[in-house]
Amino acid sequence: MGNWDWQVFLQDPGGEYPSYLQWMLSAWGWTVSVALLALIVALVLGSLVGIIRTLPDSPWLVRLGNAWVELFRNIPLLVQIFLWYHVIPALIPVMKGVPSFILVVLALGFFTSARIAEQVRSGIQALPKGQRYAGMAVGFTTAQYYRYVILPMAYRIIIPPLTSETMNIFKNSSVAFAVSVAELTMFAMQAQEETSRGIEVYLAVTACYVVSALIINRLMAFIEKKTRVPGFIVSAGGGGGH
Amino acid sequence: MMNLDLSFYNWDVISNFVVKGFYFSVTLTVVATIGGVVFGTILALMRLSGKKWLDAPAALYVNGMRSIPLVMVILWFFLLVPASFYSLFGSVGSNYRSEISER
Repeated sequence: MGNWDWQVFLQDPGGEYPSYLQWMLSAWGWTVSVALLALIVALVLGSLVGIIRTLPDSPWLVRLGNAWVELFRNIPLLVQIFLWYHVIPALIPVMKGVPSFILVVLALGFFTSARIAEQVRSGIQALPKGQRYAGMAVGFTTAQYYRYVILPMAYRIIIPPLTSETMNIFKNSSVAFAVSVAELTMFAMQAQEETSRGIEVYLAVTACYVVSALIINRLMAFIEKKTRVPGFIVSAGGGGGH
Repeated sequence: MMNLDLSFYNWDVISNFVVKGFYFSVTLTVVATIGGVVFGTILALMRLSGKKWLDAPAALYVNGMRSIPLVMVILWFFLLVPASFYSLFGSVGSNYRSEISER
């Protein structure tokens, strides 16, 4: 693998940043910002949609939730980003001034919300029916038994798939390069172009992604351990494979 | 829907771009799925083999590939896989190297 030159990261790209290293760290920051903000959007929307898909006695809300999931799951993420960037501002004039960073956060958040909704739904449905009835029998309203009985267990069950989804959202944030958000993949392509040191640049960027994934993985494993209910073993768990 | 202009969608455009693009998508999906199933099965068997020298590289590959975005994998395959091929086989194909990276 001969002639690598890591000093390329100390060179001055001649722009906003004094060195390629600092540029890359800033790009990493953009990746993290896009991913975390989109994750918040996805968790809020996904929980809402997932919950309404399990509500008893409201078939239209269930259908709305199903339609939401099918819509956002079946269009490729890149196409969705282009739709948010090119089509929606043309149809809704208010969206014209919105920066591409926000549009990417929305696109990624909506896309992932459909997947999280599916997991929330399966988490709720994995609980025995008796839990719901028990909540009703105590005299809770629907909102109350969801809040105090069903959701606390459902969220614990879906922590492993949520870990995968969080790692996915970090990886998927790389498509933000398509609308010129200055994140890691954008940096990789531009720095490779400018320095012709593709191997070094790509290796470093890949390392950034791997480190991010590792941190998320450990963090979620920690949360899973801390929130574990003693004596309650998730049947579908199959051990700590994540 | 304000001022959408769909009139440029004649059969020429559709057959040249939409149909061709769709055909490419389907081809890529089929080829990649077959390759993925075959290669994935081999990796899974390596991980299940119980032999450390088979398990470890497969685990490294799986964890590595799972934590890199697809876009980065594509960039790798465009730039680095050809480059390392030529650095392995040195002079054999170096004449073609510039030609290929031009494409």
